[in-house]
Formats: sequence, structure tokens, C-alpha cells
Amino acid sequence: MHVSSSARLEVVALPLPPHLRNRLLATGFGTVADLERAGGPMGLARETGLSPDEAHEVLQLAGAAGGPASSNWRAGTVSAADLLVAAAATPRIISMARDLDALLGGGVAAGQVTEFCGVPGVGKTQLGMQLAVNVQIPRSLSGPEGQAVYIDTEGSFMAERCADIAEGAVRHVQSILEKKASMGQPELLHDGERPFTLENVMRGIYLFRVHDHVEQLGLVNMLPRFLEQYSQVRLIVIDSVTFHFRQDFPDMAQRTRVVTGMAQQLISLAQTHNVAVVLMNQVTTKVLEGGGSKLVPALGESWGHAASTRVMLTWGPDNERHAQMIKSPHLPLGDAAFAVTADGLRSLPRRR
Amino acid sequence: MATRHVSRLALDPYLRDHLIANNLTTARDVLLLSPLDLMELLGLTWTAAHQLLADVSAQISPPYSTAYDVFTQQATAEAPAPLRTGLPTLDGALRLGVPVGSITELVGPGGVGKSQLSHMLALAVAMPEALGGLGAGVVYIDTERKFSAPRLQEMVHARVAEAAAAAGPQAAHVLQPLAVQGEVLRRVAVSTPGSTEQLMQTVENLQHTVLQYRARLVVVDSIAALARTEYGNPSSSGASGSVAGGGGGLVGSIMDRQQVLGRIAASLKALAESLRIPVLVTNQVTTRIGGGGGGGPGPPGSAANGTLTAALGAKWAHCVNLRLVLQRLQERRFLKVAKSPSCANVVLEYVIGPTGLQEVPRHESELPPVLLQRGSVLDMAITNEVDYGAEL
Repeated sequence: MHVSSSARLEVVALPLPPHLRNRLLATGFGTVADLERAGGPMGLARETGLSPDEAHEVLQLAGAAGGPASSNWRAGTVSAADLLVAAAATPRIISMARDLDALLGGGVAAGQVTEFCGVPGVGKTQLGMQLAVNVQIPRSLSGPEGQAVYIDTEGSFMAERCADIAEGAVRHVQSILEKKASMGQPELLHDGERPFTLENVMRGIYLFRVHDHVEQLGLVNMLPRFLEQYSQVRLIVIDSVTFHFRQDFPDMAQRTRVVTGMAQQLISLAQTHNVAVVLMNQVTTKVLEGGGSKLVPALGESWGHAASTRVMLTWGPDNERHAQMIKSPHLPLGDAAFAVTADGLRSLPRRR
Repeated sequence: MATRHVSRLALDPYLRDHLIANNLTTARDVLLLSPLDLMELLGLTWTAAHQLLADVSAQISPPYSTAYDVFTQQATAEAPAPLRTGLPTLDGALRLGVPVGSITELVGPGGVGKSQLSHMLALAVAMPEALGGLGAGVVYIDTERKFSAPRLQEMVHARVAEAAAAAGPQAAHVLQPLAVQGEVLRRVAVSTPGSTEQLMQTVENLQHTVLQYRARLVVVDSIAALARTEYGNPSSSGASGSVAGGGGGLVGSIMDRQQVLGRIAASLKALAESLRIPVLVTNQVTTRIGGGGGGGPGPPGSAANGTLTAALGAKWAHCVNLRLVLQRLQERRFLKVAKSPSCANVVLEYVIGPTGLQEVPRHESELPPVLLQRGSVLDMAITNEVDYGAEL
């Protein structure tokens, strides 16, 4: 919205429906400056024959596009220093696999879109559930103490398995608290109104089951409202973002357009509400020039811009699960092994 | 839902007529457009276009439940229990059996016991409750013409004999094998679609069939047979190339096949979810070809030591929730959990007996180590995707 521009901005550049745009042009309003000189909504309505409501909206748009930008050029910008402080203020969501967290720069970051791609069975859903649990780690242990929205498009969210992971995390947190208590910091045991228990953790995961791509688009449209209502939410997992977009789209160009639009919404959602958005993506076989083939993330090239951080989950030559950073604005590309245990994701035992 | 008609949405009547007049008749039509498209097409203002999208979205978005609700709901008595397989190790790992509400896939070479296991699970559902079954119906979609009523009958007799032996001689007169057999077989509805098109139709009508037979299990044996014979890339000789061409016996390309499979998977999932039943699907294996790739699909599962992987490729593998791999190794048979959102990858050995698959109890340490490897060639969920490219 905050297009930095002058009053010379053309009326045709404003997001107006055709009949309003044509009426303005026909009555000689070519630029935003012309609109500003029209004498307010009433004047504009009189001159153009628009209804006062329509005239008001036109002027609002013109104002948003040109007006305040000239008087306050800072509007809509933030200094990098503020960004750095904000980024440090929101704790990252750890995966509990030490090496994977290190690869991600300490965990999944709020305010960003992170994408995990991987072959079937490599642990995408497990990772999603683990993050939905870990986002609730209390602040006293430098966790985000938030809640999670889990959007299940494939029907693979298993509540019992999630309970296992939650139990594992609760046990882990308990043992840390006890250790801290034995070291003389007992006040940490009862820190807030929401203790980290299995029931609370499970209550803190809002589960949406999406059955087709239209529901998915509708839900993404609705998420801003949901987040306003449930301000505790610090994480949104979509598992997987791909499934419903891989059928019922005969027109690839249309799919690309729709999927890119959804990506934009998710990016702005992450930023405006300071939540971490985690997308699980499937892989697809790409036939190479030479005749071989390799596995690449699904949804095509333009989708590659959706997530700022992209991690590929694979099976390594050592038959362990590996996470490979394949795109990141600030982290080194690297590789980390992890394991899926009964308690959830953990690092491999260190080898000597 | 996608096809929700605009006339059933709560919108301003004038706007609703306006949408229909502009050929936007379903929620899908509206949501696939951006606000700018809507402004252009309908002459709406910026705010009105956003409001329209928000209103439509609000009316079609699914409701949420917390993980706690789902978790506690599953513990209550009226929720359908998972379907016991009768293989203790597997039942233990899967938390009492094949999960309801999702797709479970059996992969394995021909003759390893996929259909046996399918028959066995069908029986577990159709047997009367007094004999440990659910006393419910089964829909068996048989694309390979491998459903065998005599085999099912044999299994019923074996199960009744087992129960009779357990109950002692005085209860034997209650267990009339013939009566039980008639009861069980009447509960199993078999459908034999002969083409993918018919399969699609069967799957679309499945909700009626399931409710008609009060079925608690749907079996598709196998998903691969039709798809693999009817779809393929046209061979080098100029076979019409068009999708509609009936010339080479091909209905469409591999791309089309993946589309159709995706659609079948989506409707099976929706069915499993809304009716709270398990869906069991069997899949074939394919031989992994290193380089260019031959013409048609190779003979399934005959290679003894080549690299075999699950058929139908990466996309299909993403569609199934749980993948069980059945394989033979030195005349022994093994079942392995290859993909699961909820359990560890366990392995068990089985033999095929009169009642179907029977577990051979043994410790994990006694199993061939090659089976315990994760991500190995035998871990078909991992290696199959590369192959589907080579299958072209």
C-alpha cells in the first residue's frame, strides 16, 4: 500500500474497478493531484457523478497511495536496527534435535516462512508435530510460550503420536526444571498461569483438517482473523502445502498464480503477526536432460520464492535422516543428521 | 467444500446474482481469483472485493478442534477402534491396529501375501462379534480379479475351528461353520472395475456402497494394476500422442496417471475420514532401471535380486498415510513398516497359514540385519521415487 510516490501518480495506477476508473478519466481526473484538488468527497461526487461513498473510497485510495507518503516518508519503513532487536526478542522454536537447530540458526524463526521438503516417510509430519509442541515451551526456559495452528491437508496428524511427543517434551522440560531447582533456582518451577503439561500442550494445538484446495485457500484467507482472536499462536504448520494442489489443476499457469498468491499471504501473515510459518512440501521426480532423474521440491520454480528458508529432508548414505539447508538469507548451507525416536525428534548420539 | 454453489452462500442477494451472471457459480470460482480480478470482473471496489473474499472464505473454512479434543475423543468407547491385524508386533507398533480415517498401503512382489493379508483383514471385519470380528461389512474393490471366495471360506473354517478348539467340546455345536460362513460372505461386497475410469466411478460411488453394506473397511486390491497398464508414455513409433487416442491401448501419459491417482487418493481419504473407517490399498513393485528405461511396465516383482521398489512413484507415496512393505528374503517372508506418521519402523517375520498371515515370534536381533537398515534399498518408501522416472 505504501507506494512511495508523488501526487503525479496516475489514476489508472490506483486499484479501482473499471467503471470508477473510466468515470474519473472521462471527467478529466488523470492524476492523484487532480483528485486532491477536487474538494473532498462531496466535490468529487458532484463533478464525476459518483456516489459520495464511492468518492470517499477513491480519495482514501489516493491518500494511501500518494498523500501520507509525501508528508511522512518514514511511514511503513522500519530501521534494520529495530528489526534486529525484534528478531532477538522472539525466541526461536527448537526442534529438540541439536544439530538441526544449529543448522536453522537456533530453531525455526518467527516472522518468517520456513519450508521443509522431503520424500515420504522421512519425518515431515513428525517434525511438524514436534514444532507444534515445542512452540509452547515456557519463557523461563527461553521458549516462545505460544500456541500452534496445525493445518492437516493429508490426514496424517495422529493425536496419539502427538501425545507421545508432547509427553517426551514435558518429561524433558521437567528434568531441566528439576536440575535447575537442585542448583538453587526453585522459583522456576511455577512460573506462569499455564504450566507445561500434556493436557495444556495438547490444548494449545489448533487442528484444522482441510479436504480440498478451496478449503485450503479459504482457510489461509481466514488465518489473519483467527490470529487476531487467538493472539497466543506463534506457529502455523501446513502439512502439506502441496497435496491438494497436485490434482484438479489442469491449467498449470492458473495453479502457479493461485499458489503464488497463497505464498504472498503467508509471508505477510508471518510478518504482521510475528508468527513462524512452517510449510511441509512434497518432492517430485524431475527427469534430467541426460536421461537420469532427481528429486526436487514440488510445486515448481516460482514456489521456490515462497519460503525464505528452505530445508530438504533426505536419507543420507549412512541410512540416517539428514536435513540439508538449500536456501537461506543468512545461514550457511549445511547438513545435519537427526533421528526420530519414541519421544520425538532428537539428535544422533555423538560419535567419537 | 469446493463445489459449494454460490447460491447457497450467505451473501448479499444482489451480489450473489451478480456473481452468477458473471459465471462465478462456485466458491472455487471466486477463491481462485485475486481481489484485482474480482474488481475488474465485477466492478467492485477494493474493500468490497476483499470483503467478498473474506465472506466466502469464512463460510467454507473448516472448523478447528484442539489436539486435546481429538486425543480424548479417540479414547472414548464410541470412537471406532483401529482394526486389529492379528500380528502382535504390528498391532503393538500401530497402537492396536490399522488406523481408521487414513489410507494404509501394502506393497510387495507378487505372491508375497498382500491379498492374503487383505482377505484376512476383510475377515477380521466381517466375522461375527462372538468370534472376535466386528460383524460389519467390507467393500472389496478387486482390480486384479484375485479376490477368492473359496480362500475366504477356508479362512472362516479355520477361524471357527480355532475358536471351537479354544472353547472346548461343549461349545462346538454353537459354532456352525456353514452358518458363520454364509453370514460372513454376505457381508463382503466385491466390485471388479475393469478400467481406471470404472475404478474412479466405483470410488466416487463408494460412500453409497459403504453405507449400504454398513462397511467398516474398504480394500482396493490393487491400485497399481489398472493404472500401470493403461497409462504410459507413447512409444517412439508415432502412436497418436494425444491423450484421447485409443490407439496404443494407452489412456494417457504418466502425468495423467499421477493426476488420476491423486484424485483417487483424495476421495479415498475424504471417505476414510468422514466415515471413520480404515482404507487398505495394495500396490505392486517395479524393477528399478538404471538408465534410459524400456517400453512398457516390466513384469511385476519377478526379479529375485534386482532392486525392487514400490510402483506408482513419489507422488503416490506421498498420498498414503501408512506404508507396509511385504518382502521375501531367502524363502522367508517379512513385513516392515516403511512409512508411518506415528510409529517406529518395525519388522516382523510371518508365515502364511490357514487363517492368513501368522507372525513367527522372534527377537529383532535374529532378523537379517539388512531388514533393519533404514533408508536402505529394501526400504522401498525411500528408494522408489527415483525408479518411477526410469519406468517411463
